[in-house]
Amino acid sequence: MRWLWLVLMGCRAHTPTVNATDVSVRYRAQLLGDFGPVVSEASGETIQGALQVRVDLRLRVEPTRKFRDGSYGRLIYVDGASLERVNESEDVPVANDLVGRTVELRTFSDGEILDISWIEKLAGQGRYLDAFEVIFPAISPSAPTISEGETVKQRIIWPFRNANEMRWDNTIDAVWSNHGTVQVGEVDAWKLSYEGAWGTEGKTRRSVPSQEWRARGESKGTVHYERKTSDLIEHHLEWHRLVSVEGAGDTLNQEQRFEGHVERLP
Amino acid sequence: MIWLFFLAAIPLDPVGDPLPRYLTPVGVAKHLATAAPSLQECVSVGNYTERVSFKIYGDGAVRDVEWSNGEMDVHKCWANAFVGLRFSRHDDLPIHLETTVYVREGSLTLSPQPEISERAVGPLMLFILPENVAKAQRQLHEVNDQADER
Repeated sequence: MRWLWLVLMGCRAHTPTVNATDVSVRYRAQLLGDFGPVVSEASGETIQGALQVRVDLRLRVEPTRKFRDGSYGRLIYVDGASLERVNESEDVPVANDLVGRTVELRTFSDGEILDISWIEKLAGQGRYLDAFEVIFPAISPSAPTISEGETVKQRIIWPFRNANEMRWDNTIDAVWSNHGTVQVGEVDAWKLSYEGAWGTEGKTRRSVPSQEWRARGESKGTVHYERKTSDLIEHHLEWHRLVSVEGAGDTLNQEQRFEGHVERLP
Repeated sequence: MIWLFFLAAIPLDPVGDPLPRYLTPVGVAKHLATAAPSLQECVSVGNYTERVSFKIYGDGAVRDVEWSNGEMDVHKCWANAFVGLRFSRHDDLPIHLETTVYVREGSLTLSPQPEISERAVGPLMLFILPENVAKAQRQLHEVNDQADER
């Protein structure tokens, strides 16, 4: 019986565990957002020209609670944040008041995001994590259990909502591959990659004026998980989408490209 | 045995309710209303209407109390009552609150609808610099009525 148990454990492939929810973890997330011009669909007028913004975040993720459905709550504290507009001559800081804000990330043990409470507190002017919402799946990418050399389809999903006022939902139809084990620094790690179409749909509910959000794009990335614990070590991503925001007067479009790297800090 | 069933029926957690990391307008208004008895203690006679504003800081403390009409004897007592009103701690910038205190024949009433500052977020999902937000908002929401005119 013991022999059978050892054989089964030896065959164990990547199996994300709940360890990530048990301890406090710190991450550094660096993203480069390449934003195309904001263009009016009705008139063709350009509301804002193209720009590049570099984001550097220090995040602390701490476990909070376990929900009845088996999902976990983790508070994400923004301990450090800098945003810079990339210019040819000199980068220009973009003022923000992200530091000190928190959200609660509710996920299943495989990382699938059910909800991000208080996300509106990190969104909009001066906070900007609505445009840079990729940060949330970047630290919780919801990888499947997958054997070495195999390919598995598993969606990456996450919502963006402000209570019952508005909501949009993101879906990535990701196809995941397990590339086996690699060394990341001194840590044995599983190397997984994914690729898939990224779609977003949503609208205002109770809030006025009414608005609708749509986006279509593509995503790809590479994620390293610690072999022993299945905890996320690092995640490199390249995602892009064409965003359309529709109001009663007009629709505004913007092409968005994100290239980024998230790493767990010691 | 029956007690075990009752115990099992107690919800472990109100699923979906966010942790109270931020203050909501409803929660602030409810807590503010509890200040009325302390404020009443400062009043003896007279009729007056006073506009007051203050900030609720992240640690829940009330500071920066300001009155619409110059200095009055009762202000200091009222300010102490507001400062003594400790809100829950929260993770946002200081919240600016404005309300009105009515005194009629010695009886005090607080405005049922205090004004609580709300952050303007601008159009979400688009990355827009502050200087272009107003224009983007106008473009999104202002309907061109002339197009409908005949």
